[in-house]
Formats: sequence, C-alpha cells, structure tokens
Amino acid sequence: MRKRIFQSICLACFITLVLSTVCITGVIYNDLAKELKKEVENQAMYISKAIESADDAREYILAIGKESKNRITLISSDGTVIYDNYVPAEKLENHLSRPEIQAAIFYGEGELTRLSETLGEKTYYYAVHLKSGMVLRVACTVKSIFGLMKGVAFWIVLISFVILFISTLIARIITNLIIRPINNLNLNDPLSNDTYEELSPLLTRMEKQNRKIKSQFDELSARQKEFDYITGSMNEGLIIFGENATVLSANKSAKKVLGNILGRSYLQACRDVNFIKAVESALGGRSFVIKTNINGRVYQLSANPVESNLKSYAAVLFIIDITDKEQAEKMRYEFSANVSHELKTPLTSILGYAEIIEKGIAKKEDISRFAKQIHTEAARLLTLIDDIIRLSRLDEGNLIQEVEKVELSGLCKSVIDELSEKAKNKNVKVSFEGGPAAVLGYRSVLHEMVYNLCDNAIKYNKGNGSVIVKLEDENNKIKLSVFDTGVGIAPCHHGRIFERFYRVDKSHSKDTGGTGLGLSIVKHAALLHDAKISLESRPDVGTTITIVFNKK
Amino acid sequence: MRNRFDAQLEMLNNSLIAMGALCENAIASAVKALMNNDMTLVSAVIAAEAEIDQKEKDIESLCLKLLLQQQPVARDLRLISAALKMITDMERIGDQAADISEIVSYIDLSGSINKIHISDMAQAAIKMVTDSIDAFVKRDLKLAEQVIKHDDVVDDLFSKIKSDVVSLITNNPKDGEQFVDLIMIAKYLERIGDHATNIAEWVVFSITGEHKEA
Repeated sequence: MRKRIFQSICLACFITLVLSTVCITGVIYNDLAKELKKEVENQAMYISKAIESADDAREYILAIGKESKNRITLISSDGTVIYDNYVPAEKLENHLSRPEIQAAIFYGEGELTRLSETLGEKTYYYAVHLKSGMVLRVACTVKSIFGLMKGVAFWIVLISFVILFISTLIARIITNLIIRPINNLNLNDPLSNDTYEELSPLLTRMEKQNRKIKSQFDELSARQKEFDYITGSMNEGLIIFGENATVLSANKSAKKVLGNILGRSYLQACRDVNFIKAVESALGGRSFVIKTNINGRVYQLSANPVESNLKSYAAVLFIIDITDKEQAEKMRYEFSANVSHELKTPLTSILGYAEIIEKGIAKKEDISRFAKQIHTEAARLLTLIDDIIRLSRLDEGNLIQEVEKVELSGLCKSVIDELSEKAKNKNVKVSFEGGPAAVLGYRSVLHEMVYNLCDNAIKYNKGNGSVIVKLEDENNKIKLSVFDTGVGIAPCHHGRIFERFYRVDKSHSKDTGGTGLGLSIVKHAALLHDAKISLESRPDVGTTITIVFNKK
Repeated sequence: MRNRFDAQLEMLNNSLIAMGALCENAIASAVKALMNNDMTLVSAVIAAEAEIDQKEKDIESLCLKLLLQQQPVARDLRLISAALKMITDMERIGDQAADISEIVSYIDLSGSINKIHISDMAQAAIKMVTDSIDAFVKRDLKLAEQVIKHDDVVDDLFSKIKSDVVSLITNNPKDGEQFVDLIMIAKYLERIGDHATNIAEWVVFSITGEHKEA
C-alpha cells in the first residue's frame, strides 16, 4: 500500500511537471510572439514615418539599417529591392510576388510569418506601403518554440530532476503520514481507533470477528480445562496419540509413569516392547490389551484405535497400575498353596500312624505313643484351622461383636496367667509393667493379639530368658510393647514376618508348634483397631514389638 | 522438498529407536532365559535377531537413499552417517544376544550361574545398552559419556568372572564345561558393552561432530 501511494504521488508529480512545463512554455511563447509582432510593427511604423519626413531618405535608411538588429528591406513599387541591411540588394530577386509585399501594396500594410523547421526559426515579416510608392519591410527572426526549447533543454531537464527529487521526498513524507494511522491501528480493540472513515466497515467487521474468536476460544479452553480436570484426577494414565504417532495429550498419571512425553513420537516415549506393540496395534486399527513391566511396576496397557478418517487411526492408551493387584493375587495364590500344604502335613502323619495301627503292624507298646502323635497332630490341625478361620473373619471385617471399652492391663495380666504354665516349661520369666489403660475395641480380638504376641515371645525365647509386657499411656496414645530376650529376627526377614505362613526358621516350625499365622493375626487385629505396629529386633539379642493405639 | 526430507529424517530417527528397542528386548530376554533357563525366551530371542537384521537392512537403504537424493550437510549428514555406524553395532548386539540364548538352549547352567557375578554383569550390560539408546533418543551428551565410562565396570566384572571361573574349574573339574560356557557368555556380554560404548560414541558424534576413538 505504501509503495502504491508513493508511486501514485510520484506519477502525479511527474505528469503535473511535464504538462505544466509544456503549457507554460506554450503560453509564454505565444505571448512573446505577440509582443515581438507589435515591436516589429512599431519599428516599421517609425521608420516609414522617418523616411517620409526625412530629407535624404536613402542616407537615413542606411544609417538605421546599420544599427537595427531587425532586417530592414526597402522595395520599390515594381518589386526591386532597393536596400537590405542583411544581404546586398542586387543579390535579391524581385519581391513583388511576396504575399506581405502584395498585401502592403493593396492594403497599405502586410504581414507574414514563416516557419523554418530545419533551422528551428520563425520569421515575422511586416511591410508598410510608403507614400512614395515604395514598400518598407521589417523582419524579425526568433527561434521557434521547438528551437527555444532545444536551447533551454538542459535547464529544463535539470530543474525537472530537482523538482522530481524534491517531490519524491515530499511524496515519501506524505505516504508516511497517510500510512501511519493504519500502521498504528489497535487490532485488539478495532473500534477504539480514530482513523479513516473508509476503514470503519473493516474495523467493525474485525471487532465482530474478534468477539466471535474470543468466545470460541473461551469455549475451547473451557472444554480443554474440563478435559484436563477429568483426566488429571484420574489414577489411570491416559495418552492420546495423533495419526502421526506422536503424543497429543497425556494426563498427570501418564506423565508420572513415562515422564513428559508431549509432542514426542511413541517410540521416544517408551521403548518397552509391549508398549510399542500396543500403540502400533491401535494405530493400525486394532484394540490391544497387554500387561507390561515399566520401571519395576506392573501396568496394564489398553490401547484403542480412534477412527479419524478412512485411512489412518489415532489411538487412546490407558495405563493402569496393577502392581498391587498382581501382588495381592500372588499372595492369594501363595496363601492357598501354603494352606493346603500346612493342612496336609499333619494329616499325612495322622494317616500314616492310623494306617500302621489299623494294619496291625504297630507293636502294642508303640500304639499309645502313636495315638499321642495322632492326638498332637490333630490338635495342631485344629489350631491351624482355628487360626485360619480367625484370620478370614478379621479379613472380612464383619465381626459380630460390639465395640466396647477394654481395659488392657487386666487383659495383659490374664494372658500372662494363661501362659504361665508354658513359660514355666520353657523357664522364661514373664512380667507386666505399667498402669491401667483402656481402648475402644473388640475384647476377643485384642485378647488374641496380646496372646499371640506373648506366646511368640515365650516360644522364641531362650532358656532363663524374660518377657516384659509394657503398657504406656501417653497423651493421646496407648503404647503396648512386648519385649523378649529371645532368638531375634534378622533384618532381611523384617519385611515379611507379618505375611501368612511366613517362617523365619522353616526347619524348626514343628518343634515350636506355631502355625505361621500368629503375627498375621496380630497385624490384622491391629489394622482393625487403627493401631500401628513397629518391630525392633536383633538376632540373638531379642525382639520388641510395639503396638500404638490412638485414644478415641 | 525440505518437508519431505524432514519427514524422512524423522522416520530414520524412529526406525533407529525401534531397532534399539528390539536390541534392548533381545538382550534382556537372553539374560532372562539364561537366569531362569527359560526355553520359550530362547526362540523369542532368535526371532528378534532376524527382525533386527531386517531392520538393519531397511535403515541402511533408507540412509543411502537420503545420502543420494538429499545430499545432506552438517547435522543431518552427521545423523545419517552416525546411523549407518550405529546399526552395525546394534546388529552385533542382536547377534550376541542370540549367541547367548543358543548356549542356554543346549546346556542347563542354572546350577553354576549363581557362583559367579554373571547376573551383575548382565545387568550392567543391559543398562549400558538401554542408556546408550536413551542418550540417542534424548540427544543426551552427558548420558552418552556416562555409558562410555560405564564400560570399565563391565570390563572389570569380566576380569573378575574370569579369575572366579579359573578357580572354580580347578575346584570342580566335573563342571568344567558349564564354566567354559559361562565364560563365553561373559565374553559376549563384555562385547555387548563394547558395542553399547560404540553407539554412545556415535551419539556424541551426531551431537558434537567429534568422534572419540576408543
């Protein structure tokens, strides 16, 4: 636009310059020619008067002819040239036929303008008929208009250039002035501009479109926000792949698993084989579900194609963390395997002994020993089944009992009483420390918990060892600790001893008579009471298990 | 024209990553097969090796096409020439993974495997391969240099395994064959480490234009 305006102004200037030069020259020249004519006429008049009144006309004309710049010719009535101040008279032919002379003879005066194109000159002749019958002719030669212009062409060109230069400068300034308001338009608020009227339809339209764009943008960003909010609070990772296999969107959970992968190709996002397989399959138009292991956790990847047009697909990938589920499944599997094994062991012994007795292979004196073994194993089986039932009840969490206030000190003392016989057999001293402390809970569950803890403390103690059950009432917490001076537990087992059927020393489980479920029951009982369990133990020094209840 | 070239470069980049992923998977599967004496993984590794070979051919022809048709310069040229070198190393990694699984297929090493540090060495080699490909994906100069340094760890483990194997053979000449196979596997792992180092060096070259000759 700037160029166009600039060019237009320059062109206008140029045309104006040329036209004005031509017109002005023409007008001035015309005027000049008129003046010249008048002058020539006057001169002719003066000379004719002077000749007519002069004593010696010939002498006068000679004198004046010498001085005059104009050509003066005196012609006799028969047309012979008597005198000419430019060319000797005898060289000139008879002038009678000349139109100006003819006119002068007939009308008293005559004129003629002759143009010589080759010389670029214009000659003006004026003839007067004298009283003596002679004709006086005065001629003046000037350059023709073209000749005149040829002479000053250099100046005209020079001046034209100067003018053109100046007009270019001015054109530039004017262009800038015109353009400036357009350049300074505030496009964000088109109607606030105070500028050319011609622009107002455009600006109004722009304002309308601005408003439309803003409302659409607001709507879009609101939708995006909504989408982000929904996907952001999801636990599952959600990744959307575009048709070119790059990540278009990934929610918070997905970024937690794979890092910031926005805009990258799926291969750059993760090189796990199953991940690649799932994404490629979805991009190829087929759904795919697979389990995979990324950074030590198990994820279920579920990839689905999104049809965007007939040829290619976008894809949506869900990443679900199933590590816990997998672990729980593994534990359940292990539990059932353990249960069947643990149940089978005593049964095998019972079957064996019973078979020996039945077949009569057993000696008579051995029968009572075998019967005792059968009894012990059956009792063990019963304990085991009891423990499993208890544990599954705790697991289900639907206890028939009501919550009541349980005085723990009394409960501990009664447990110690119950176990006194066992302690005496193992030569372990069991003592109680601390004052009364009550918690809200299930009496039988708490009893079982304390019983199992104390039972373990005695079972895994050394001879002449001791067990201390300590009850502390701190601010809003009640701490129940069971210390023992037993065999202790190596640190590598600390994480697993609360698992079902987990045994530190697998070879001697039968000697101690445990089921491997005791601490598991303690853990579940503590969970049921919102209590926290902590374990401190050093091999050959002893173990302390502390349970911290919140006072409600 | 340029757009097409960019698309082709992106394709080259993705193909390289895909080939790298195949290598990672092949070596990880080979090691798993070795540790658990898992025969199903053995055939998977051998299938993966064929796929890696095919990928090498594809990438090679893509690189040559790019060199001929686009006459790349500067960084693009470095990427393509580095790619040509890297695929050779990746292909060798695939071969060695297949070699390891081949040994696993004819001899049960599960008895003697825990007596030496082969598991540590395998993990170190896998980490090197993964890191070198990560360095390529992220154009991570630091990580590439770490991989180059990490090669010493694998080399040290190899010499340790070698001396362990020597004393183990002297003590149980009966199991001599198993230990000889294990030392072969250790050597393959050591070579895998070297190839990972090479890849890392080419990553450094494609970023900086300087290639360190190890």
